[in-house]
Amino acid sequence: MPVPSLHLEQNERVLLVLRRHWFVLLRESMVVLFMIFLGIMLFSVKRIWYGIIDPVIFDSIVAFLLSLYALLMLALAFAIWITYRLDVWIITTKRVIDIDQRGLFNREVSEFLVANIQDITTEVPTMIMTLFDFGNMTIQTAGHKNFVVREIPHLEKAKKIILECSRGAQT
Amino acid sequence: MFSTAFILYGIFILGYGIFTAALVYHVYTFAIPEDPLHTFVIPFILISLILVGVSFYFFLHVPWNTIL
Repeated sequence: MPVPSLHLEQNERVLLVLRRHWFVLLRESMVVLFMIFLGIMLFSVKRIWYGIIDPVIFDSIVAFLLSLYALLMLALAFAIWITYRLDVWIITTKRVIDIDQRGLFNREVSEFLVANIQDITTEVPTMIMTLFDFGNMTIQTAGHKNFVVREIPHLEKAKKIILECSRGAQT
Repeated sequence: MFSTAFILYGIFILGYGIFTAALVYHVYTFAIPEDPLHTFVIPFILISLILVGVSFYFFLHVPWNTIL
């Protein structure tokens, strides 16, 4: 994927752009699906409400509240989608750029040279991760903090590319 | 009752508008330009506007003054 907006140096090119695995998006979207289901269930039990409120008034209020609820769900779903898409990890021939979107208003961007990489650890800690082929990667750099990238796909491919670039940069 | 409901509805729509603006701002500020994420903004705004219109239509059909 060509990414000219990264202001790449001469002879630097993007090797891999990684996002978290689609299962993570599915897991976070389950909240929205559950809330939609809950909202529909709550308002669809009409018999209980009809005993308390006049059916004509109740139906008009339900239609109004459901439309507001749909607005909320739309915004929540879009926020989850944005958070998923903005959390990206870019590997170039010289750098690794880790854009960590932890929440809508919580964002951290880390960047380090592949030449400084000392050690890479990958882990696949759960059965789901094993089944869907994704996991966590910890990169230790010389004199800096550890970089932990969670729930990324193509773990071994990414590790191989980073190690090859690191070796190439160090020699 | 109608006036109170209308004020509360207005506050909700205003809050929704601010939150939506924040989402759109995030997309245009933080997304990599090569990422097609911004193509989702227009459908999101359109669906939001349709739902706001629908909610306003339903708001006007609630007999607010007979509730209490």
